[in-house]
Parts: sequence; C-alpha cells; structure tokens
Amino acid sequence: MKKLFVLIVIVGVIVVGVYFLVKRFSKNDESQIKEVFTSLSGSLSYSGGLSNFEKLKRSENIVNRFVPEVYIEIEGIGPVPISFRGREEIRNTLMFAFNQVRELRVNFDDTKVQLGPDKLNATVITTASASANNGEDYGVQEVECRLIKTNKAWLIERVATRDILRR
Amino acid sequence: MLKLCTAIANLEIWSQDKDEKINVECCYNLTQNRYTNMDVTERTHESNSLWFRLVFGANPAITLIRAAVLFGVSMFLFTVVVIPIRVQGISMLPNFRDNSIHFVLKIAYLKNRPQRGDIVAVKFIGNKIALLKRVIGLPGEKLSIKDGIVYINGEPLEEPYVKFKRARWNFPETVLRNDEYFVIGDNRSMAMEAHSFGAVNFSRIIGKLLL
Repeated sequence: MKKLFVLIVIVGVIVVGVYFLVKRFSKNDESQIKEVFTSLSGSLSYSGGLSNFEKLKRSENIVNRFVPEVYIEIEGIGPVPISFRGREEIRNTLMFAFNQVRELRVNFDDTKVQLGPDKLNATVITTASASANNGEDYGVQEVECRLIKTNKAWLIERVATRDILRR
Repeated sequence: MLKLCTAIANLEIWSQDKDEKINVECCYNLTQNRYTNMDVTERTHESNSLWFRLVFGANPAITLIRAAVLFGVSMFLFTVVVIPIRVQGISMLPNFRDNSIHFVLKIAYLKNRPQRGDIVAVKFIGNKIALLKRVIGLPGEKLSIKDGIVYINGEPLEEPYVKFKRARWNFPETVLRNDEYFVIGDNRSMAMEAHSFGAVNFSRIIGKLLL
C-alpha cells in the first residue's frame, strides 16, 4: 500500500512537471503573443525611479513590440480620448512618463487571444491595470489589440480601449 | 478452541510492506518445540514510517479521498458560489477601503435581478479583475446627475451611503436599456472624469457583494 501511494505521488509530480515544462517551452503563436504582453508589463513596471540608461533601454524594449505605424487610442483617463501614432510618439510619451512617475506597475490580466484564419494576425482582449506612486493612482481598462506577425515576431498594430460602462 | 500450550504470547508483527500492524496470539508448544495456533486477533493499518504517516495519515486511502473531496468542495465553493475580491482604488470610499478583502456571491442573481442599492462586481474580459460598484439605476429608468444629486425618472435619489461631500457632477439624462443597470461608486468627492461609472449590461455583473 505504501509503495503504491509513493508511486502515485511520484507519477503525479512527473505528470505535473512535464505539463508545466511543455507549457513553458512550447512556442506556439498564442504563447508568443502572451509573451509580448508579459514583456510589456515587465518593461512598464518599476519602482524607485530609473537611471537614464534604464529609461532608454525600457522604452526601446517597449516600442520594438509595436509596428512602426502603430495607432493607440485610450479612453477613460481624461475627458477626451488620448491617441498616439507611430513609435516616436510612444517613445516620447514613455520618456515623459518615466521622468514624471517614480513608481509604476502595469499588468495585463485575463489575456484572451484569437488568431486569424491565416495565423498571421490576431486579436487580443486583455484587462490592463496600472497603479502609480504606491497605488495612489489606480486605473483599469479593457483593451483590444490587433497584432500582426512580421518576420516570425508578433507586433502590435492597433490598441483601443473597450467601454464596459456606457456613459 | 482447545490449545495445547505451554506458553501464550501476544505478539505484534508487521506486514511485508510495513503498512499493516497484525496482532497475533501465539502458543509455544514445548513438546513440539515450535509455535502453534497462531491466531490473528487484530489487523490495523499503521505505518512505522513517521514521514509517511505525516504525509498520508494512518490510512492513506481515506486521506486521499478526504483530500480529493476537500479540493473539489473548495474549487466549487470558490469558483462557482463565492469569489474573494480585493478592493483597489478609492471610488468606494469610505464604505470600502483600498486593499480590503470581501466576498462576492456569484449565485445571487440566478433567480433575482439586481436591486437599487446592491453592491455588485462588474467583470472585464476575465474574472481576475472586477469593478466594485453600487447599483443606482434599473432597466428602463431615466437617470441624470445634476450638481452631484442623482435623479431617477426626475425624482432625487436618497443616498445615505454617500458620506463624503459631493462634487458638483453633471451627467445628462440617459435612458437605461433592457438588461442595463447604472452603477457608480460611493465616493462622489473625486473628479467625475477619474471615476468609473455608467450603464452596464447584466451579463457583465458577476454577483452581489456578500460581506
């Protein structure tokens, strides 16, 4: 009996381990797209201020996740929607934000990926939340992103917020 | 049973894989110079290994069943019936403080619909993050806000839960569609632009705040 249970536990651990290993190292399109958002979250989250080099490095990491002619439109932060077009505008906005905000945390949760029939474009809906300055300011938005596959890399082409509360 | 014994002893022996303790009553027959009439009086599942007993208990099969039942009940309870939430932000102050933990009853609206004054969780694309808001408008009603006062079908709404001084919010009259509820936070002292409120479809409402 004892041997049987030890065997069951060992088999269970192996099965769970293999599952997570396969999940971790399998590079299908969906996992690659989710990796884009994980990377963005990592580059956008920091605490205790950033050095100039770190600001440049992070902003490059972020803009390289977008196509050069990207268009972003965000509603709900102010009275009018905010929009950015192209990598340069995003880079400038990021540098401004990195200089103004000492602590920032950005998360993308519940990321749902819908691949196009040709598997060269995808639509992603995710819940983006951001808190700045130790949680003093907190915002959450449902965001829809359109991505395209270019040279085996998934790049964000368009970002728009989705209203869940109609005003 | 007649036992021809010159000595009787009760012995405890272990099964081959050492998970079963067997009490045996033995007779030692001196004339034959061997043990006879070995009667098993009791068999108990017991391990002599402390770590094994700590992990699996005295009876591993029962422990496994208990763990499976507990896991199943917990999963059902905390995914289907109730979900824990942590409040982030200031929109529900002072009734719900930042970082406080509460529970939402997901089955609250299986039969009934939300009522005015209910505190509900409104979901985004998934369930990981939700808005915690109060229902103030019901389907078909006309709702507006003038100088911070909410009007339902032209009548001012009494809101005892709004405790901070109201900012002078103005929101044009809107008619709620079927299946739409108007939700808003209790903190009306903040800027209107920084406060998430509006009409939400019933399908977005996860459940009612339990405690």
